[in-house]
Amino acid sequence: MSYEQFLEEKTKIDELLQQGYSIERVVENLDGAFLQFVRKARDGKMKTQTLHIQSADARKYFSVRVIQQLNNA
Amino acid sequence: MADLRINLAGIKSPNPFWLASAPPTNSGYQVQRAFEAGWGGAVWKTLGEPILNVSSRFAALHFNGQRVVGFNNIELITDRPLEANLQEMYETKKRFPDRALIASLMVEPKREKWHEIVKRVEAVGVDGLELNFGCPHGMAERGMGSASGQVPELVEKQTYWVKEVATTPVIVKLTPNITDITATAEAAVKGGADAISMINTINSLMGVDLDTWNTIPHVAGKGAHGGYCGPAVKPIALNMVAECARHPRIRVPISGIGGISTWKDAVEFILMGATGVQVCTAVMHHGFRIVEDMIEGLNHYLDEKGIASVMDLVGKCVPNYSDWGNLDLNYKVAARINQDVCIQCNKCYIACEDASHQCIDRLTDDDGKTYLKVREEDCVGCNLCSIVCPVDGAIDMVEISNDLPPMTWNERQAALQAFTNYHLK
Repeated sequence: MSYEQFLEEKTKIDELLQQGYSIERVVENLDGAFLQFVRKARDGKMKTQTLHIQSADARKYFSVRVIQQLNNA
Repeated sequence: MADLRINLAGIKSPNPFWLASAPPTNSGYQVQRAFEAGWGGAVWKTLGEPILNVSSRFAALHFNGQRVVGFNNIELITDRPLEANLQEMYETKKRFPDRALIASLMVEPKREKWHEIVKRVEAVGVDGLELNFGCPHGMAERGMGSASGQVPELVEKQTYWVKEVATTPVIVKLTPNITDITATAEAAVKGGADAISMINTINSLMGVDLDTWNTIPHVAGKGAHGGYCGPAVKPIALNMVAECARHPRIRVPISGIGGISTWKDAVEFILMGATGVQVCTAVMHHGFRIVEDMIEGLNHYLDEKGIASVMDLVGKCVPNYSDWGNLDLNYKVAARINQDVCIQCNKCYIACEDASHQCIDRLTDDDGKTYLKVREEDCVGCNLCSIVCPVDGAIDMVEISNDLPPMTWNERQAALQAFTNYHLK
């Protein structure tokens, strides 16, 4: 897992968070982590996005964001 | 001059350096010579029913030109009658009243046997007792030593029996031949131990002769496992001392044993919770007079640190020792190669490429000269390159700052669980 992969995955996480998504669910298994993001759209419908996070550093990174989200809840 | 005196569970000695129960403390002649050299205390070679020894008893591991990195023995406890030892102990204590004289004891796990030996030994004026629940060979086959020391219930029961009659402090010496030494340490405390000591020797077979196919050592062509000690076991011993020192239910002083050869080793054990240390292999290798350097080195260290007493060092590093799950996952170090010191041997490159994370590049500068450079962003901070590097100062491990807050594995898992629970509401 290279630094480039970490940056790529971190960027995807940051982009979704900047778009107003929040992390809704974390599933970790043998293949890494699957993050489900949700956002309420203008029409009131819930939009979801899923990221597959594989690099160790990105898994640390989203954990920090989860803790921050939890602290702000 | 710092104050080197220690008080271990009421046993006082002028410095923290004691001889461990072993061949160097086999007789009054030896212990008195050790005290003349400056040793603060001695744990007499284990007393019990006199045994029979075999011939060819010791073996050593030499590594890369350094002799006695590890040491193995199949010698048993004293082979001399109790009364002969007691007479010499009495004379030794009389001649050196300020030194700590400890009797190491080992008898069958029977209440009356313990009572008998404790009373007879204490009558000669020893300062304390050390119960040998650690010897891994010979005696263990007879239900004593580590055979007792591996069973917490037996440790507790025998300690209790000793405490029923003992009038001096009781130290319980523990075997490392067990998965979790805190289990037996706690049992000793439950039995009433005033202190614990560790480690005794580790089960070992030193080697096999490739020509004769005999074990090393062998006795008429046959071998049996021995007890391993010496510098090679120091990290194992240090961990066991630290694990006991940080255990909330083991609140008794610790006498540290295991590969201690220098004053620096001793300081490490003391910082990790030992009140004093015991030494054997280094004396078997270099003789009693190594204590002179140990005393001098410890004195200078304490003076340089501005610490008045060695007792002020005891356990100072214990709060820094924890479980893996409490380490900060976001702390990062990375290797940095100092080009003006590097000799281009490529050891780091090979190690990183073959055995670690492939983050060192071999590059060529504008003048056509090759050099090695770490891609710090890919470096995981494993330390391997700096470990294999033969040149001091050629590779530094430097802290890499980031904007992430500290986060341990335990905090992460707790947060993820709380997060899941929150979203299930």
